[in-house]
Amino acid sequence: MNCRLQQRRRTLLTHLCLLACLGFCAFGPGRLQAAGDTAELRFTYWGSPFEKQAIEKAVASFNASHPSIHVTGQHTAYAAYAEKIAALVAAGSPPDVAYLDYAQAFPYAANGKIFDLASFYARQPPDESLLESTYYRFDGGKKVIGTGLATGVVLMYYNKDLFDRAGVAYPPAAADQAWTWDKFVDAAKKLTRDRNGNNATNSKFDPDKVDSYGLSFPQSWWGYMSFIYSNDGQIASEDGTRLLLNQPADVQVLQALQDLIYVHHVCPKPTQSQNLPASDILMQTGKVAMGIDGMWKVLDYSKLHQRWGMAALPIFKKPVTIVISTPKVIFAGTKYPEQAFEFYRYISDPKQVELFKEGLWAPLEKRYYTDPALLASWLQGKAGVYPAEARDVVVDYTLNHAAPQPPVYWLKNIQQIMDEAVTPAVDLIWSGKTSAQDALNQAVRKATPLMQGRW
Amino acid sequence: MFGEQVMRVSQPATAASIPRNRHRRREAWWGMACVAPAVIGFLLWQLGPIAGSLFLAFTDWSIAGTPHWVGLQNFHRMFTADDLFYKSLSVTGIYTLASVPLSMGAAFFLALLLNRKMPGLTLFRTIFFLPSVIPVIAGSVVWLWLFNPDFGLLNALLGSLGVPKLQWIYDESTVLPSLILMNLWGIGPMMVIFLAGLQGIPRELYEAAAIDGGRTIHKLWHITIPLMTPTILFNLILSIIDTLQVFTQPYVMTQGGPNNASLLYVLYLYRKAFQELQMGYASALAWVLFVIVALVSFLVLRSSRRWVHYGGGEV
Amino acid sequence: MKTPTVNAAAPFTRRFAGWPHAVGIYLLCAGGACFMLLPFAWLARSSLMGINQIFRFPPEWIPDPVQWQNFPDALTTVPFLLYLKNTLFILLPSVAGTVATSALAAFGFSRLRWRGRDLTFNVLLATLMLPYAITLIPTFLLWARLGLTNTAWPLVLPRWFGGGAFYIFLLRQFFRTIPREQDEAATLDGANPLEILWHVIVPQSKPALVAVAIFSALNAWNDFLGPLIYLNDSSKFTLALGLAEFTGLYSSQWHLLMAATILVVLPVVALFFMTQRYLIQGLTLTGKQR
Repeated sequence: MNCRLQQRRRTLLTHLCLLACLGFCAFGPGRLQAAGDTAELRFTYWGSPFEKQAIEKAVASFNASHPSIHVTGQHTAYAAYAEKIAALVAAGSPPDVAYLDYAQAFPYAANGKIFDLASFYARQPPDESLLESTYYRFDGGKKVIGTGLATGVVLMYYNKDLFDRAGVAYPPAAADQAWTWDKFVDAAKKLTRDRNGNNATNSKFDPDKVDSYGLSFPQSWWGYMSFIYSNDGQIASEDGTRLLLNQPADVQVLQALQDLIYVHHVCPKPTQSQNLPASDILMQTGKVAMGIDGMWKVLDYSKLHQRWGMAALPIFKKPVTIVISTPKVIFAGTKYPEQAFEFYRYISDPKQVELFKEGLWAPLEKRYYTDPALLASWLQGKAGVYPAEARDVVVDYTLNHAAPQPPVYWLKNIQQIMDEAVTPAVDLIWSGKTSAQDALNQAVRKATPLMQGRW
Repeated sequence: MFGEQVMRVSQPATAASIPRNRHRRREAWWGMACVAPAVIGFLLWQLGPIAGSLFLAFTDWSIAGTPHWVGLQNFHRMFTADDLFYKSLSVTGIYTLASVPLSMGAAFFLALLLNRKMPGLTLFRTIFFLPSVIPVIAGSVVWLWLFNPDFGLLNALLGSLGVPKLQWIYDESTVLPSLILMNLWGIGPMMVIFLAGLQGIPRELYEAAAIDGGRTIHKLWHITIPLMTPTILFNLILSIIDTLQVFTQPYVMTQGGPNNASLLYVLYLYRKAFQELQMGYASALAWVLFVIVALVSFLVLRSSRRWVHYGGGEV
Repeated sequence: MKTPTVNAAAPFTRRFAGWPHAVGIYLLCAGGACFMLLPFAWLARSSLMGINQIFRFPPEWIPDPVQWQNFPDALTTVPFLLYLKNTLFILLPSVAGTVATSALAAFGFSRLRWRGRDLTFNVLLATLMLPYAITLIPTFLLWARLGLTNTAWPLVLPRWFGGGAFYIFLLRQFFRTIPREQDEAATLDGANPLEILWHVIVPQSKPALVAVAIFSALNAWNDFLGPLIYLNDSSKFTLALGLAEFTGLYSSQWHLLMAATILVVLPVVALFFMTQRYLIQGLTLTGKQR
C-alpha cells in the first residue's frame, strides 16, 4: 500500500515536471525579429527549377539595386504550398510577399490577412495600368487584394508535321479569321487516323483503333470556359448567387466537346491532372495534332523538336479567350508595405524577370502589349521562343479578345463549388455516360446551396 | 552487428528464492524507465496538438481567423448535410477492404518465397523492395504515365496481348482497382517485416514436423502461420491504420475523381482543411475517422487474444 | 489480376528442395520481379532520354541518343551535395535515435510487467490513427513557440523520444516471441533489464532491428512534408525537397526529374541491398549452433 502511494506521488512529480516543460514550450521566447536599417522581406513562391533560377536572379538584382531593402526568397514545392502558407499564417509569421492560389487568397483576405493594394494602385500613373482581368478585387471592388504574377491566355497549339501529312491547312492565328466550330471539327476528323491509315471522315474508320488524334484539351475549367464565352454563355450570375452552367449556351458547348470524344472520335478522353499529361507532352507522343493549352506552354513547346505553331481557338459565335493569372499578395502583417510593394511590382516586371521572354509569363501592364519597343523586349527578347504568329495569338488575343475575369476569381466559396458541384459533373460529361444537359443540371443543383455571392 | 552472441544462461532457480514484492517493484520501475523517452515525447509533442485538434473540431476555425466555439455544429452538418462525407467513407471502406487482404497476402507469399538461402534471392529481395523507395512525387509521374489510357505503357503492353483498352484511373469503375493494384507495388516494407518474422521461427520445429512426415502445407498451416501470428497482427493493424488514411496517391493522381469515385476520406479532409480553409470542420472529420480507426483496431486487438500466439507467453 | 494467395506458397519449404522446386521459385520470382520493376524501368530509361523522347508513343525503351548529360544537369540544377549533407545530418541521428529509443520502449512494453502498461501502449498506438493533416498546424505552432522552426530539431528530436509508435509496436511484437524463461534465467544470474535487453533480446531480434533501421532511414530520406513545413532557407533543404523542385505548376523538366530521382533512389537501393542479408541472418545463426 505504502509503496504504491509513494509510487503515485512520484508519478505526480514527473507529471508536474512535464507540465512545466509544456508551459515553457507554450510561453517561451518567440522568434527574434531582425532589426536594423534595411527592410527585411520574405517572399514565398513555387515553380520548376527553371522558374526558381529566374526568380532567384531577379531577387538578387533587386537586392543589389535596392540597398535599403533585403528580400529573402523562399522556394516551396507546389505540392504542399497550401500547407506551408497555412502553417506560417497560423503561427503569425506569414511571408511579406507570396504567390497564392485564388481559392486561398480570398478567404485569407476575408480574415484581414491580406494587405489592401488599392491605394498603391490608385497612385500609379494611368499608362502603367494593368489588364483589367488581373486585378483581384474584394469588398465590392473597393479593395485590391492582389494582382497576377503574370498572365497567360488560352490558345491552340498544333503539330505542323501531322497537318502536312493529312493535307490540312494550318489553323489561322488571327482571331477574326479563327476557324468556326464546324470547320474545326472537320479538320480534327481529317487529322485523326486509325491504325489502317483511314481518317475519321472515312466510312471504314475504326474508332476503337485510333493511332493518332486530331485534338486534346485539358480537363481543367479553363479548357472549356473560353468556349462558353465564345458562345455568349455565362458561368455564374454577376452577383455570384447562381451558377448558370445549365443554360443552353453552356450546355451546347460542353455537348460539342463531349461529341468530339464520343461522336467524332477525334479526341482522347481528357485526363485529369495538374501536370500530366499537358498538351506539349501529348504532342511529344507524336500522336496528337492540336492541343488546347495556356500561353505559358510556349516555354515547353520551344524546347520540343517537333515543328509546332500557335493558333486562335475555334469559335462558336465570336472569338474569345480567357486570361489565366495566379494571384500574388502582400500579407497584412508586413512591417514594410511600401518596400514590399516595390518588390511586388519588380517581380512581375518583364525587364527584370527572364520568364517573360522565355515564354512562361506574359506581362500584366497594358503598355507591354501596345508600346512596340516594350512589346519587342519580351516577345522578341530571345530568339526561337515565340513564333511569328504570337503577335496575333498572344498579343492581339489578350488585348482585344479576352473575356471578362472568369468567376473563379471572384466567386465566394469557389473551391467547394468546383470540387463538389462542377468538377464531378464535368467528369460525368467526359465519361460519356451522361449528356451535357443532365450533368450540368446536376452541377447547378449541387451548387445552389453552396453559392454565397461574390467577394 | 549488434554485439555479442546469445548469452549463455544457467539453469533457472526457483522463483521463490527472490523476494517477490521487491522484484515486482523493481521490474515496474525499470519498465517505466524504459518507456519514459517515448512517453515524454508523446506528452511534449503529440498530446498538445492532439488536444488542440479535438478542441478545433468544435470550432469554425479557418486558419486565418480566431476559432469560435460552435458546439456540435460541425458533426451535425457532417451527418445530416454532407453527401461527400458518406461518399468518402464508402470509398475508403471499399478501398481498405480490398487493399489490406490483398497486399498482406501478396507480401506474405513473397516473404515465404524469399525466406531461404538460394543464390540470387538477395537480388530479388532488393527488386521487390525497390518500388517502395521511389519518392512519391517521381513515382506519381511515372504512374500517371503508365496508367494513361491512350499513350501509357500498361495499355500498350496489354494491347500487344490483345486486351482491349482500359481507362485505369480515368474511369469511375476502374479507378479504385487501379489504385489498389498500384498499392501492391509498395508491399516491400510489409514483406520485410514478414521476412524478419519468419526468421524468428526455430528450425527445430520444422525438422520435428519433417520427422513426423508433415507435408509442406501441413507445416505452413500448423507451424509457420501460428508462429507468424504476432507479425501478422502487426501488419494487419498497421495496414488498416495506413489504408484508412491513404492520401498521397489520390491527391497527386486523381484529385478524388472521376466524379468522386476515388474521394478517399483523408483527401476529402485535406480539401476542407487546406484548400477550403475550413480547419474546424476538417478537425471534426479527422476525429470521426479517429474513432473509426480506433474502433476497428480495438476489435482486431481484442480478437487477437484468440488467434495470436506469443512464444514468450502472455506477458 | 492474378492474386497470389498464401496457399500457393504450399509447395515451397524453407529449405532447398531439389531443382524442380528451385526452378519454380526462380520462375515465380522472375514473374514478380517483372511486375515490380516496371515503374522503375520506365524511370531508369527516361532518365537517359531527352525531353523529346520520354513520352513518345508507342513507348521506346532504348534511349536514342543516350543523354548522360541529364545527370550532371540534375546535379547542378539543385545543390545536390549540399542537400545530401543536410539529409544525412537529419537522417543519421534520426535512425540512431529511433532504433535506440524504440527498442528500449518496446522492451518496456513487452518484457517487463507494470501497472498501466497496456493502456500506455494503446495510447501511443492511437497517435498513429489521427491524420497528419490535422495535427500538422498545432504541431508547427508548438515548434514555432519554441523558436525552433527553420532548424532540423523538429525533424530529429522526436526520434530520440521513442521514434514513433510504428517502430515500438513492430519491435514489441518481435520481443514478445522470445521465450520468457531466458529473461528469468538472466535475472537470476544478476543481470539487470538493460543487460537482458542487450544480451538476450537484441541478438535474437537482429532482423527486426535491421528492419526498423531500414524503415526509419527510408522515412528520413524520403520525408517531404516535414522538411517542407519546418525549413525555410534553401541552404537547409533536403534531397526530398530538392526533388520536389523539379516539378512546377505549369511547367516541369521531366527528364531532369527522372535523372534526379534515380540519383536519390540509388543510395537507398544500395543500402537495402547491403543490409538485407541481415534480414535472413537467423538462418545462418541457427546453422552455426548445430
